[in-house]
Amino acid sequence: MNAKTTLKQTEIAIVGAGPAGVSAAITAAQAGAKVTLIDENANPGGQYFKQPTLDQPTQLPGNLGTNADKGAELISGLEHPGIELLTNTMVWGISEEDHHLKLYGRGESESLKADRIIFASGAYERLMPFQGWTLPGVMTAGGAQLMMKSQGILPGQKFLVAGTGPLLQLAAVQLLEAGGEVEAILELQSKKEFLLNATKLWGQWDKLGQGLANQKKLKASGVPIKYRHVITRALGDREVEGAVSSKIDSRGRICPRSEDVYELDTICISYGFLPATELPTIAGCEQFYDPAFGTYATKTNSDLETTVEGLFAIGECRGIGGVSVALIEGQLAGLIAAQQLGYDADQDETALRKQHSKARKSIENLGRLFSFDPGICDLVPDDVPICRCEGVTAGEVRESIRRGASQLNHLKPWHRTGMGRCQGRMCGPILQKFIIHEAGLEPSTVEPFTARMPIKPLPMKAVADYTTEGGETTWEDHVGGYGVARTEL
Amino acid sequence: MTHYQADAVVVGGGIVGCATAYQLTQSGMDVILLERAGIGSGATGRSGGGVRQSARVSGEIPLAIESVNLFQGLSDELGIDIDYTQSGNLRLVEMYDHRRPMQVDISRQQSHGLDVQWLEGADVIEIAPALRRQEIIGASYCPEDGHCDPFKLITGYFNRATQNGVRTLLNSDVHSIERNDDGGSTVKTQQHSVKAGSIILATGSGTQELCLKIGYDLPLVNARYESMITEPLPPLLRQMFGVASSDLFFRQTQNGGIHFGGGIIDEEEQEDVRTTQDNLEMAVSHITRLVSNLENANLLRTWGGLDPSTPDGMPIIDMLDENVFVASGFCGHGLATGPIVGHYLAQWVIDGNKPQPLAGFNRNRFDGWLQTKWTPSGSFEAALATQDTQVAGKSVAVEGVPFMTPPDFEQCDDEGAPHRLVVSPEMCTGCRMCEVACSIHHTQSVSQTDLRIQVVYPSDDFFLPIMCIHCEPVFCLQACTHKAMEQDEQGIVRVIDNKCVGCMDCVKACPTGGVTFAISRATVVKCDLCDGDPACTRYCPTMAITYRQADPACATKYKQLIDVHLKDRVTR
Repeated sequence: MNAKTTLKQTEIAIVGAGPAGVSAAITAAQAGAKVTLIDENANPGGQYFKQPTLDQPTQLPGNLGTNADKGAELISGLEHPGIELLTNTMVWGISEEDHHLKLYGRGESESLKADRIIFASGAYERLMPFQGWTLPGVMTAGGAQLMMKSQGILPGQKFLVAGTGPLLQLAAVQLLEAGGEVEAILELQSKKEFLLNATKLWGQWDKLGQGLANQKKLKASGVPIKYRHVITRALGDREVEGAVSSKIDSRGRICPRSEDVYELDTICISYGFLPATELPTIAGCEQFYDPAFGTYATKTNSDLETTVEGLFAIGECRGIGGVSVALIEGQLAGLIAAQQLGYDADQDETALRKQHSKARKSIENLGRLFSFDPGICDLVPDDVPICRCEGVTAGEVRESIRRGASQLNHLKPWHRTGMGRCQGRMCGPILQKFIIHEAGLEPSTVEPFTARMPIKPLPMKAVADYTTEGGETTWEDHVGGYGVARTEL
Repeated sequence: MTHYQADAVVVGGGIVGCATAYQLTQSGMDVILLERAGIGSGATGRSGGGVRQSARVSGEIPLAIESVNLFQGLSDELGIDIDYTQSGNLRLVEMYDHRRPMQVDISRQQSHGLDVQWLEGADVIEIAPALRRQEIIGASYCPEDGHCDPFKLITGYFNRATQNGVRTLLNSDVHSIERNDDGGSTVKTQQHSVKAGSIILATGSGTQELCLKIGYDLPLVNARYESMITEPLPPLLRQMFGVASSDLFFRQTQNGGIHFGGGIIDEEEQEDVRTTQDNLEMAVSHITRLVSNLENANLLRTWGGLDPSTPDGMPIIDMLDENVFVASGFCGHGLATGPIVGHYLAQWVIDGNKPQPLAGFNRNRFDGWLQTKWTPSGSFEAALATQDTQVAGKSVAVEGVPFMTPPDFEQCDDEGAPHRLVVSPEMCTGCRMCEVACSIHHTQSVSQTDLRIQVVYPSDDFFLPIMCIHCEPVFCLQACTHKAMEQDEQGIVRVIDNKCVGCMDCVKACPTGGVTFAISRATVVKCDLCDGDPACTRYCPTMAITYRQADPACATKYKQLIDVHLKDRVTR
């Protein structure tokens, strides 16, 4: 044990202060448990309920505004004496035997010992590359939402939204409401598939209602939704100046002479989500393949407890489910964890369980709205970089798959994919799709990159017990002031 | 099940396997390469990337020197830049206590023809300015050592092998090997059956398991090594670095990341490649102490790997049975010797004669060793701390400290010869642990006087423990006029305290200075061999003093040493 690290104790530790984490914290605290809620961002709310961080209170327009208000209402419940909120704090690991959480925030290292741990670590956005996707001006739909939600900044003026799933339409509406122009929405699925999948949400009136409202708003603003279209190229030398889209046929091939050229400055892409399961994986929780979304997620029982006793997984990290599922799972896990510790709550557990199973059931169908055939990997030309950190192109990856690579780890020695700064968070899911498609493998057999501590880049001083004495020369002096720009946590 | 046939089948797609497969095809053989996961997915791809000759066990040095010669032309031969930098290897000394052992170790390596030298702290900083001056006492420096990118090295070999027509079957875990009537063998995996004339097992951490299946119990224990890497930084470190006091190594890769790590000192068999909190904290704390300002860099990734170790720190490269070869047990430093081992192994397979450079790596060198407990790690401090590795007096040269090679013993021909203390002054580091051990054993205190053993420093780099070697004739006994000494049947002479008057006749008579006058007791004291378990030998970290059957020649040699170096001092 590092001499610098202090050991803290709590009853229930919750990793991630998104909708799931916040509702779990409130429920558990109301039952009487001592809760520590940890998030690496400056404010609770997660990506969905991201709160504006502006100096002056600003009412965000339309949907963004109502969303922020809903989030603020939820977050206000955190002002409970039983909840300790640690923001700007990264959980970079979990010890394998005693399950101490390793925290680093505001220059301090801490170990947190908890009787119960609830993982509510959320999800990453999934992408598919195309020519020019590394140009400034290409961002994820969630990234664009984030800039609007937290900073009140519209990331561009003229947008193209591309990918698959209902998030595209929501993001487009929010961009419109914030004053942007949306040239078009490119949806990979056909209109028939999309509507058929949407009807599976029968009974989920709030979701369907929101979807219909979005479509209505888009129609009123004259934004075309182009089904079975993909973005094939971002135009521009130093930044995005335009984009080219193509129609694809039912077998996933590009239809000749179907190109549309747009003049615009920002491209938002989204191909669904990837559960952030690093911490439960390191802690030894079993993972399972979720065929609906095509991702691995943390396995839990009906109590939301993982295969390791005392550890819970809720929200996106036990399978993509959206905000409504996250909120219910938060309540349920908070309640069960508190009950396990001997606290009595006046919450109606049976009703919660009923709500939960109903909500989860609807997700199985929600998955289809985000699903896509790995065959679209064929649309990525050979010279497009897939691994941005190490500059590995689709052609090189294809060549290695032809030579027998059938796991992500097989590609590492040949290309260093997944070994750059992003540690495979960006390229991992893309490479998985490539291997599944090119090698013709069962999707579940291609495992994600191994999760290891630190799960995100960690300043060495967080673990080192060496303290620099004053007046000492540093390597920056030795290399002639050739310092590196580095963001402090 | 798919059937294949080839001249040779290489099991294991690591550096040894790929290099052997490539060399075999250079001679026109038809080769199939079987790998249970991916190319370089075992120890090779997880290795530290060091290509060094220094800080190796003596027996391995000639092979390492040859390998470095090979590395110089390897980028051209493989047609891929393997990022080989011949910038030197520094093995850093951070404690004054390790300075002498390191210098002794340098002389040992020099005696094998290696260009390695001692650098003082200031000289180390001169060539590696990113180190913290206040933490470095000095280092051993071998300018011809260096490092390379293990991934590029293995990819280069694999590419070349593939171009030469090697057929590779990935994800193929070998579950059985059967001998055929024609002298060849059939290797079976879940999906394939490969018939071949020769089999080469270069199976790394899976070797022990596989060899047990075919009836060979090799002394291999898997040790886990953990590595980590920082984000890319501006150029800071050119050399490959090791540390004398632990298993820490570090280097800066071509793209700027500082790659560092080390082994886990654990006697239990390791089975997984996880990384541990403890090792992470230990390695990060250690390297940030050595390299300036590194605490501000971000740690990007950690990983673990398994490599089998042997009791003497050298690999086993041998023919198990007709046309069944094994090359494994590289003890965590096989990357550098892998290419040359591949070269010679292929030669052996092709012409059927064992190449001379591989002569020292037979498995039968461990016959009779296997019962001995040993640690699968090469840490100097671990050896100091673990009593189990102190095997002096058992007359078996068990490797406890691969970093310090034990002296070569001349075996005693006479089976009935008595056990005596034997000194190998070339191994003595002047640490004086023997004095402390002896003093605690006999007086239960650490005393500067009343010593039964004493280390003297005739010159700056020569130390000699002075003690009684129980020589014949027994001058002390003969000189004693007060019947204050007695000799038992083993020839051990003891002082009878209540009869000794302290006349010092015996002190003057002793040819080695082994009898001394103890002021506090007013009698003489001398070695009594601690009733057969001398404390000094147990605590000697370098085996400079051993307790074993000794020829009279040993005593003569010791007396000569005393005569040459110390005549004036011991006969006070």
